[in-house]
Amino acid sequence: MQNNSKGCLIAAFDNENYIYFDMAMIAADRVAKHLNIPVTIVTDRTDGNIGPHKRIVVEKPGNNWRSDDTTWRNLIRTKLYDLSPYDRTLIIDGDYFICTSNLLPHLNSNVDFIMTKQVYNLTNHKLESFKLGNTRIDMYWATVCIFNKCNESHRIFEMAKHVQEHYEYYSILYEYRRVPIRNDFIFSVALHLMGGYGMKDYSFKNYPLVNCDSKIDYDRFEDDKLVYRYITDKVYANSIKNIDLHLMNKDQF
Amino acid sequence: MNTEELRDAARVAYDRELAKQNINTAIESRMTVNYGGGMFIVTQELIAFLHSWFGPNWKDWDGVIYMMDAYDVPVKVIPHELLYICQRRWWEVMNEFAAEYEEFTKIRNAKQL
Repeated sequence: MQNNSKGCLIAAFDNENYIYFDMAMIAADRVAKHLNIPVTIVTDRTDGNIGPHKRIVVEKPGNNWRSDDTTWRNLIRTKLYDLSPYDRTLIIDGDYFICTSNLLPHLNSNVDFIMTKQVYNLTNHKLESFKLGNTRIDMYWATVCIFNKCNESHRIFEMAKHVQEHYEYYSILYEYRRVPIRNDFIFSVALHLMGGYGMKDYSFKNYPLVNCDSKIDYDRFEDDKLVYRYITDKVYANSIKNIDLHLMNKDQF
Repeated sequence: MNTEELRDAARVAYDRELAKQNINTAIESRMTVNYGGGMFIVTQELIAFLHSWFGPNWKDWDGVIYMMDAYDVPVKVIPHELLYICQRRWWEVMNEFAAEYEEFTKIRNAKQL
């Protein structure tokens, strides 16, 4: 392991519909450009040009069925603590487009573990925090996470592994949907348990997650500016730039 | 563009308040600085607080204070150092905001996006 090293991990496992590896490469290039830190892609693919980035090859995680009947190979997130070669690691999803250096102050701070919780809504300009299931614990989004290699982070990831392993039990206990298995839910439960049953806040401060989800249509994305449409009482168009974007609609890439 | 596309384009509305809030959110998330291993959110209150250490009774004082950063970690702070960093950040980000806001005022409808 490098001493006092900082870097980014992105997991990428292709399925029958999407080549996540290519998406991860785009995301990795953006991390290198805006944050200037090394990037390691965790994948099962040994082929494909990795450019200036590094690669950790692991076995493809098991199937996770989505409602659209496609497989989703997302169940590696809880193992990223063990796989990370860095002392301080940034984890992002492959569809997270870094457009700014806004994450750097968080990366350069001393906090041991943070994960995104607040979401900026692109259709009604509200900052929203979601609750999980009927038990209404705070919901975290595993899309962006920063952690130190330390006891606290290690315990959180170990608890997350446990929640993943006993997902059905926790889905009944916390009363949330069992299928598909979501990393957001796994970490929400793990952070609730490890933070003294919700006493501790692990959220990013002043860094809302901008989820560009199925409620909006992407018109175009150029020069880090997204022009999008959405429907409320009528069809609207608007734009957003100079902020990191979670481009969730993979069909519209 | 064919007639149908033109008709669709004409029907698209533009929410100016949302556009303004999009700019505000982007600008606010840039208002962070690192100092002494901590992270601080630059606000008018923080700048005023740091400045208060240079009042009449503290004139020429060059000591150290402790402050909680955004993540509730205590950080050793030399006020004039952090003040300078915050003021510089404020200046950079607000200048960008002013430029963006000027662009924003020129947009009257969705076609200009």
